[in-house]
Amino acid sequence: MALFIAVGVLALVTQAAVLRVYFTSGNVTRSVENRSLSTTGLAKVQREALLLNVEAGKVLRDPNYSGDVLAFHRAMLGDELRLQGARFTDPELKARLDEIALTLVRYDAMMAGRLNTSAPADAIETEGFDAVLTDLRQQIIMLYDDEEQSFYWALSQNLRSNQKLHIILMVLSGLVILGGGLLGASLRRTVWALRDEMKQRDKVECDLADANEQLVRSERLVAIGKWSGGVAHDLRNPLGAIKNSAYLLKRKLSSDGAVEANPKLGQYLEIIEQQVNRSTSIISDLLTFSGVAAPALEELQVDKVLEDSLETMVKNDHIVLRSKIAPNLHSIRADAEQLQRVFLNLANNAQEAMPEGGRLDISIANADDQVVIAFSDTGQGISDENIGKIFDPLFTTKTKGTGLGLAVCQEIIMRHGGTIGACRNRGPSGGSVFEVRLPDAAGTHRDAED
Amino acid sequence: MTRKVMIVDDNTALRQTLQDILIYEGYEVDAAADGHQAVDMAANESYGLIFMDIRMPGMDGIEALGKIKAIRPDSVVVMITGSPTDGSLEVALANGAKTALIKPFAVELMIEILEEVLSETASA
Repeated sequence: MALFIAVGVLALVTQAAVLRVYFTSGNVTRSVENRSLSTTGLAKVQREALLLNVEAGKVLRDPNYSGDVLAFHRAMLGDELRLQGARFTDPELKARLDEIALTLVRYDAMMAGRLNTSAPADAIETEGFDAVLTDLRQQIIMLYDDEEQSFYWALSQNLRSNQKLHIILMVLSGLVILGGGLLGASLRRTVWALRDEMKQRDKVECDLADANEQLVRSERLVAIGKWSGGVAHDLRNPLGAIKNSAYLLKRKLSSDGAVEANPKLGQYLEIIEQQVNRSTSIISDLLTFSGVAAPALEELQVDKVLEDSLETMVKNDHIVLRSKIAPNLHSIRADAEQLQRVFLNLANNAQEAMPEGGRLDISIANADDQVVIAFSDTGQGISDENIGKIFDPLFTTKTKGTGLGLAVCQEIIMRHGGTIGACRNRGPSGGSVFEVRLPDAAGTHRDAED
Repeated sequence: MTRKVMIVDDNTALRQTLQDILIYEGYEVDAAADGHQAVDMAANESYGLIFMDIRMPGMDGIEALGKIKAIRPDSVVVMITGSPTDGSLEVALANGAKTALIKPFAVELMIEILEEVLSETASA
């Protein structure tokens, strides 16, 4: 018995040691810190690049547009890149930054020329800009990828070269064989803790900040919005005529006694009416989509908005809903109604992904100057093929979907200066994680003051 | 009090079916395919209610509404529209339209409005 207790105590001590070694061993700790710093920084770089794209589009389209905002975002992008540059020691990353700086110089020259003319941009000029901006986007994406790789490389090198950690793991394995039960449980806890840590890291890895792709989508959204509004309007007349004809047929056939003599006729008429009504509701969706309004911002608490959205949700009894709200959440500036729409959409999607039941975990927490809302389900998950497309307008895997839900969500979140992303849940239960990041109220104020 | 009603819509199928329905329901119904025709007809005859489409070629529903109201200020006009979000509805309501029906609407709702208006004007 004494032996087991001794082994148990030793196990706990060793577990603490492993964790400490794991988290404090020189390079890894620095890498982790560097990485989290630069991830935020790179997100800012991407955001500025996105805004630069948007503003460049405005300048090209409208010769009277002042370009002040453009210059501002250009300066912000430069600043962020310099900040990132100071942090990188890797020569490859440095080289990438240099390339971006060069592209920016080309971009500056083109933009300076553009701002000095009052003529509208011609096709060749627009193409030239597009090429430079695409180049810039590519380089920023590559910078991001390189930085990810160098982090994992550092981590694996560190684990391999850390003799102390290696020895402790060997000792632990030996003790597990000797001690069995209690120690096994303790080791499992250690492994779980490590796995949790890895999971956290994977979450950061979720591709949340691909601002450039968001831009392309946003432009498509506008086009589709206009198009769908027009289509919706054009469909109203024919649907109205069908509905009226069905009404007339029903009245006439009923008064002639024809429906009574042949009940099938009544059923057919019912089908026509139901389907016209269904078409009408699709039209309403399209019209709502074409009119995602500018958000009416007010200072609010995200958890309250979530609570309100969940109240209006039709819950599936087979799904366990858990929410984990961190204390002292930052307030945000947002349009409560629009956010509710996003949350409801994400929660409903999660439910629909688990027709046989499962678990929906919703968490809200602060992360630097952002508030992060995550919806994690245990459903069938999203295939690799589809994960890049789910925010595309009109993309759907549902038999009854219009493919607008997530596109609208993304549009709303973007208008709030935030990001939305999805990744596969790497836990044993599978499923998907959708993560929304919104700037906190202080951040929104800071942006406004800048 | 007249139970005479006018339907104004450039979409032939919609105009005809609405006309047939209201005739079937016992109203006397005239139909016009655009704003010019509607204004001419309203100048010659008094209608208990006019259902007026907004987007039409030639003279649109809002212009026709203004002209009809100028000729017969007590005319009751209910707009019918397929574009409830383009701002035209607000203009029509500000210019004296009684209310509006969004296409495609339930015929029962149209008849309900019709009966309400006719009984209001009958008791006035």
